[in-house]
Parts: sequence; structure tokens; C-alpha cells
Amino acid sequence: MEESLKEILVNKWFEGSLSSEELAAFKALPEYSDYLKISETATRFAAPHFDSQSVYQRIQAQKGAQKAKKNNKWWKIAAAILLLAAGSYFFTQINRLETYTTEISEQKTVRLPDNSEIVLNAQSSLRFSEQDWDEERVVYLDGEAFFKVAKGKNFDVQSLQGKVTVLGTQFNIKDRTDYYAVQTYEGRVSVNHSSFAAVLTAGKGVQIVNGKAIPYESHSTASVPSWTEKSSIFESTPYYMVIEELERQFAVRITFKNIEKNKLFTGSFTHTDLNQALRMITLPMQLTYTIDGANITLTKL
Amino acid sequence: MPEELHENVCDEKRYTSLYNRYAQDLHNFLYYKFGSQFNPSDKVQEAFIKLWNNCANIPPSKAKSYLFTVGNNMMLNEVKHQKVKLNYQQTPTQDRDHYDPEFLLEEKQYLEKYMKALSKLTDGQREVFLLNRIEGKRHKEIAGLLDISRKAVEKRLYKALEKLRLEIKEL
Repeated sequence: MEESLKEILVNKWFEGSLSSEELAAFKALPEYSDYLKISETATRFAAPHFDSQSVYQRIQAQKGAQKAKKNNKWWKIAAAILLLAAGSYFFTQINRLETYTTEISEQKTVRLPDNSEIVLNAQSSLRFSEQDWDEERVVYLDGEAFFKVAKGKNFDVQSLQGKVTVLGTQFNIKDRTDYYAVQTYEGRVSVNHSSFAAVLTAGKGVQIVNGKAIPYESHSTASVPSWTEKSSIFESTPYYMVIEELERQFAVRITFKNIEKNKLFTGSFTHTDLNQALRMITLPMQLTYTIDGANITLTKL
Repeated sequence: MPEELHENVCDEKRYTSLYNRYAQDLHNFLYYKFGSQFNPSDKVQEAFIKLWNNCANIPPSKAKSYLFTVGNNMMLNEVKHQKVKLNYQQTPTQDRDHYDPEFLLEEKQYLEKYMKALSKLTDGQREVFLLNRIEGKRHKEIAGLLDISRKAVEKRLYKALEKLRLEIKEL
């Protein structure tokens, strides 16, 4: 058999994408049984357990020790920053990025130079260059936003974890710690993330939790994300994400004990009434809550 | 030059998120590439400390490459020209009830050969092969992790498999 064809079969086999005819051809290779055994035996050489937690603790301890040392350099650093700031003032005047930021429980609507509309959810920020829009059509997002793109326009949305290329459409991006999600409402977008890359058409979405991508099709008929209409709806979302979102919508701190924070939650909460919102997220999970000023504790019923 | 939303990784939350995302991958990458004689956990720790100390100069988009490069270099300094050695797990994952001594001996010999053959792969072939076979990482993920093309991943995977087959046969 030709070398290149064998290489293609092997790689499709590794990716699990052999068609039934290709699989038959692959199994007919004289090397097949050797390949199979080599592949199966590989797992015996797995890396030893990595104790992520204790390494992290050691890093934090070492960071703390170094902080003390750094302090005596402070005034030098401050002077350098002052000089730099003075110097870069002129530069930034020329090439300035417009920045829009929202606080907890705040939402804002931003218009791009091409007339596209962006609604920013709470605790998010958005930057783009007004002057150089024609040359550099990139929007930088931190947090969550809903995009209504003017017909026939295109630009990129770069956030910490991924990039979405707009192909004339309406969509929502949520980029929060360890969580990245894109949902398309109209048209299509191209998503580029280290663990997921595809074009999403209307109704399709993807959630990436801790690097694991879960593509899905929305069952809802909504044409805009729920949060633009004063409620947050979740479909199979890890529970801690729901709690974090509630903290963003009402300026509160939520602590919880003995709760499976990764359990998937499907449901919603309102942005208008804290007590009602808390009932909506605790009852289905058989939890209860106590409020003490801005501190809320969730416990098992 | 496109400006980034977060110019650096000094923010505690961002730093932790990078740790959660890359620490395990970095650890396993270093293990598969350099073997078990060196402590990959220590290198992960040092690389992340270094990232923190230089956090002001590193934009988040460069953090992954930075961590992998630093980890790799620290290993290289120690390894010099030592041979790579990977340990295999003593308990068989399959054929648990197959305790025929002859079979066990054969299996042991096969594993020894396998271990030697693995050490003869190039670093690049070994890391890609083991990340795919053991970690179940897809071609695209490996390409992203190591900053190489998908085509290069495919080439290395196939070369690794063929070389293992021929080496094991010969030994």
C-alpha cells in the first residue's frame, strides 16, 4: 500500500473518523494488529498524577514571599511609570481605543462605527478603535455581550479565550473565568477557540467549560439573549456559573457549603427581585438560602 | 499593532484561570517529552512563578507559549544528553484475570521493548504520540498546544507509530 494512504488511514483512525469502508481497508493492512497493540499499550505509559492543588499552593506561597522583596523598588517603578505615562500620552492620543465598561447590575448599549449595536451585560468591558475602524475592525471583549451586526458588515470579536469572526448576524458571547460560550440568534459566526473551531449557524451555540467544548442547539425560540430582557436563562450550565451570574446582577456575595458546584442547572432567574431570583435558583436544586446584608449563604434543604 | 484587552497577566483571577487551563497540560507535555527522571511538577511550579514575576510584560495570548517555552528550557538545562525513560504502570489495565506466568513474562518483555522504542523516538514524535494516545487530545488541540501545524501533528503521529512498530519488531 502506498505510504501516504497508510498515513491518512492511521491519522483518521487516531481521530476516530474512519468511514466503514476505510475501516475495512485499515483492518486489512498487514500492520493492523501491531498498530492496535501499540496503540493500546501506550496508555500504560501515562504520566503520573499531577497534584495541581498542592503545586498551586506552593506557587502562591512563593509569590507572597517575593512580594515583600519587591516593595523597596516601588518608588523607582513609580518614577518609571510616570515617565512612560507622559511619553505615551501623545501616542495614545493618536491611537486611542474607545472603552466601555459596565459595573455590577448595569447594562449598556454601544454603537460601532458601522452602526452595529452591542449590548454589554454587567461587569463587562468592550474596546475598539473608533478612528482606525476601517483598517482594524476588531472589538475586544471582556465578559458578556450581545451583538446585532448591521447587514453586510464584518469584524472580529477578540476576547481572552477565543475569537469570533462575524459574518453579518446576531449573537451572544460570554467569556468569563474558565467559561466561554457563543450563541447565534441570526446568520452565522465563525468561532475560534483552542478547543473548538467551527461555523455556528442560527440557533446553534457552544459552551466551553474548563477547556471542554459542548456544542448544542438551543430549544428556545428567543431572538435575543434573556439577559437583555431582565432575566438570565441557563441550559445545562455548571451551577457555579449560575451563582457567579447572580452575583453580577445583584451586588451580593454568595457562599455555599457542601454543594456540587459543577452540577448542571437548567432554569432561569429574574434581575428585578433578589428574593425571587434566589428562590428560582435554589428550589430546583433543593437548596435554601439565608441573607445577611449583602452576604448570602446557600445550604442544602 | 492590535492592542489587547488585558495587556498582561498580573491580575490574580486571570493568573489562576491560566493555571487551571494549562498546568496539567504543561505537566504531561514535559513528562512525555523528557521522561520520568526529572520532576515535571517542579518545572510547572517554576514556570508559573516565572510567569508571575514577568507578568507585566506578558499579554494573556502569549502566556501559553511562554509557559511551554520556559518549562521546556528548564528541562533542557537539566537533561543535557540523558536518555529519556518513561515508566509503565505495573498493574495491567487489561487482561486482569490473565495470570498465566508465561503470558506475564511475555507482556513484561513487550513492555520493556516498548519502553526502549519510545526512548528512540524524537522528542517531537513522542510528545505528539503520547498526548494523542494517552491524553486523548485531538490533532487540532495538540497543534494549538505546541504551536505547530496540524499537518506536522499528522506526520509526527504516523512516523511515531511506524517507528515503534519497526523498533519493537527488531528488538
